[in-house]
Amino acid sequence: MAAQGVTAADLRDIQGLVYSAWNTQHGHAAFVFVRLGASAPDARRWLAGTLASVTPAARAARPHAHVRYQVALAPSGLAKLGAPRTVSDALPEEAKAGMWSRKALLGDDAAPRWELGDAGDPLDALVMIYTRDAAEREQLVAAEGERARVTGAAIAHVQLTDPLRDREHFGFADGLAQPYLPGPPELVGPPRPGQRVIATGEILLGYENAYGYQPAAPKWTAAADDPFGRNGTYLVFRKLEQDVPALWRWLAANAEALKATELAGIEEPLEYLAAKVMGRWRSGASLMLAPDKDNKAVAIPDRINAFDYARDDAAGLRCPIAAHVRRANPRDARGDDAEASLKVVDRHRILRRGRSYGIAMTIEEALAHVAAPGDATRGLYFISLQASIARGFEFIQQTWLGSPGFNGLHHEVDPIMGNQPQGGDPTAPRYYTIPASPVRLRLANVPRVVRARGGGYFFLPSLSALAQLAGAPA
Amino acid sequence: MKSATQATTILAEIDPAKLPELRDRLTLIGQRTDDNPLFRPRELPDTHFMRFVLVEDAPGELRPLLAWETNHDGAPADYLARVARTTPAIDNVLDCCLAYPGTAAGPDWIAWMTARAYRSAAFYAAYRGIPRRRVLDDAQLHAALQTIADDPATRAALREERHATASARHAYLAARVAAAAPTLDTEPRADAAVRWTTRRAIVQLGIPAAVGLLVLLGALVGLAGLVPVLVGVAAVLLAGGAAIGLAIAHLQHLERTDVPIDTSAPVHDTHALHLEEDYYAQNQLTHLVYLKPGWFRLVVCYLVLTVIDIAARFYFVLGDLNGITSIHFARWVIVRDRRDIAAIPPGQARRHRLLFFSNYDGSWESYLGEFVDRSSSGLTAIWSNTVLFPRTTNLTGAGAGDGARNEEAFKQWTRDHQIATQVWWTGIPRSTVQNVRDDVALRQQLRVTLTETEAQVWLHKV
Repeated sequence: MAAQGVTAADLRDIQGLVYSAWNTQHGHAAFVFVRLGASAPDARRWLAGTLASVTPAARAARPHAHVRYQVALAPSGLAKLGAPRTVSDALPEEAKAGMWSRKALLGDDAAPRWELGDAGDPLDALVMIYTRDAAEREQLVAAEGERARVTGAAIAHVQLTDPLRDREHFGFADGLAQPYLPGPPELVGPPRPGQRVIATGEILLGYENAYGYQPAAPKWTAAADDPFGRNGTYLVFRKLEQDVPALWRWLAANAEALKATELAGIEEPLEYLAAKVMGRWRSGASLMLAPDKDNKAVAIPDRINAFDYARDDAAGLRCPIAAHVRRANPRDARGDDAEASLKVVDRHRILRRGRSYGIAMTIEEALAHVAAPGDATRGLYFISLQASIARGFEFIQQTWLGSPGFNGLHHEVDPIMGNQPQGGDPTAPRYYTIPASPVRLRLANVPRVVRARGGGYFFLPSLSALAQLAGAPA
Repeated sequence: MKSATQATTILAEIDPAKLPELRDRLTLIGQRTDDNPLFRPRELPDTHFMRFVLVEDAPGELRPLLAWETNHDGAPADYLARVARTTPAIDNVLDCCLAYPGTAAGPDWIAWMTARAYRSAAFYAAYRGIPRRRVLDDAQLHAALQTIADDPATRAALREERHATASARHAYLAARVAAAAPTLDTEPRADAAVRWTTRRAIVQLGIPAAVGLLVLLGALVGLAGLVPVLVGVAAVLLAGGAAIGLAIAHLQHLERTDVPIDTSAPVHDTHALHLEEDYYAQNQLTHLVYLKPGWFRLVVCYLVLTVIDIAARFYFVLGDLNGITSIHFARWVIVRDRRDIAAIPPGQARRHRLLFFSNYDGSWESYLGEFVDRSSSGLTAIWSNTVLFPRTTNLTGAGAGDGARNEEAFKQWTRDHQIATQVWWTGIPRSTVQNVRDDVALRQQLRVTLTETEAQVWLHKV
């Protein structure tokens, strides 16, 4: 199939989540993990029942005004649906292996169990429901239970989000630096200043990627131009528990110890240290544009990404090299050549569609918190979309966030991800370096504030591929 | 140390009867590299990285080989002599090979090893001339500087007016480290950087100078009216040009007719090689691929590797191999098929092999990504001479060809020909290439007076 851009017809085929996080009007979400029935006809009946609800990217084609509904399938689900071998053969190896088996590479704990998606808990299908109010969500989740019951399937897990807020649980604005996925102008508008335009095939299958090739895609038949994979993408779902008190206590202890010396003259030492660790102020303003104190004027959409690192801050004096956002997206500062760096970084971008779960906690509450057994937990359902999980999510997690020697660092961990550094001794000291004058400041005992509690790798098919799977002959 | 960072590759034929035993022994050593009862690589003298690999031939026509790849300090013969003295336990691995002289302690051992040593067709070292001991010493000095720089008393002093400049801060830190750790060696070492830069300058100036000289000679010959000489030179040039033209035409013909890899699935790893990777901040890759049949590809491969070897020795000397900054050591070794012609089944050509050993920072995915993103032409020029490589044009893949630029096909091809590394050991597990280079700079400039700019750069490295 000739590589071309996304057309209006494609928008009726692509699941809407690709072009929208549904985060303006749909404050409530449920992620329903379904274990499909063992017989292919049952599994297909289950899938067929979802088809009328799936939300495409094209506004005019949306079935329900108030509900957004997406369906993703894991390799195990595709197998139960009786998809032909041409589909399973062309699934990425990491998806077939599953997130649980990639723990070491991802820097996760050697936990014996996960809350969802461990070795004994295959996640066949994921239904994502976005509603405007909690009551409607409850009704739709109940309907999923009924659909599962009558098709021999079972609901394995229901994961509910807390009502949408503009901050993640640590208190920061999140999801700010999304790459620009090209599409029809009426849907996507122009890129914002500083927003990188990536090749369509970096996210969507069936389009040219950054190398000028179409990414390998599952096919229904052996024909070279088989359209089954086109307009699909791969979805990573990861339940990340956040230890909010641990982060703020560590920051507060350092702010208190350093406020009279290192941080003398800084108006809000705690906020300042938090920004130095994240790379952005809690408002989202970048340290590159607001180095000493928060400036809401640069936290607006047209300024929030309008910066690079290498030209103005190669040494990391404004935004530390190890800061979470600089590791996750090093922009022009990966290597000595800024242009080459941007080109390379463009090949490792993902669309993030995450949502928070659990009751929010203020900084004051976090600092006053006394841990007790049975404490409520909170965190992030990290969700990302990419045409290659290995080159997208896993690469960022492993090579940028997880590498102890990232960009010349000496055995450091990412302060937010809390992952084990690759090959790292779990008992080794955990440092975080802030380049500074007169000489760099090094914070010790970086706590582990994020832990993976579950997740999986899924295929997010096009609407036509879902229909094909649901109607597949026995 | 002029002879630091050398490469030795031993390829010895395995006694077929002992192959299962060798496999078991290597598995044990590989699982417990530092504390197994057979052979502990950490006891080797002055070794940066080493590995043992079983090099087998799937059709079973070529005898199985044991490869010992070691990156070490000192001339190979001296190194082997030291290994024989300090690590005779290496017998526990090597005595599974044919005609092994029994023990490393014996008089014939070095000759036996040397007879099985293969020259690297190309060898790259990121910090040529820096011995392992020095890498560790420099890291230790850096750690001492880190501790000093963490000390609140040091930091308070650095904020005082008398330390307002970067050069004053540098001098203060140097004095503090000397006082706090009087036994720590803070002396600068013989400056390898000077040698590196000189070599690079020779290449950069030398080549244009040589060309200029040739042109000048030609002009002189012409002026002297030596027409017959000119005719002779022209004839030689014509013949040479025709030969090169024919060779290019032949190459292009081969490129059109070669069978490239057929990929439709995403990159997959059928040998579960990824299970050996990503446990450390550094990783290894061993790659074994057959050259396309015929002498032509063998010659082209030798030529390309020779160019790369020269470039690696004289030009890519600053930790950067044509844009790739994550390789500590890498080498290509051509293993020619020297079987008696009678032993080759009729209708078959000799099966020459190309072995690639790499010791690199980061993950497989990032390493292969660097190959594709930053150095595809050079790699295509080498590996396009081997079977099933993605289709190329004009050797380096320029034009419509994909070569290493076809990301998924190149990664798949690499995975397909990657082989298991039974034992791999790193002697500098805590340093990336960038760390080594920064640590070298910290020591070299510790006790000298620096300009303000130099001092700022130095302070950023602490």
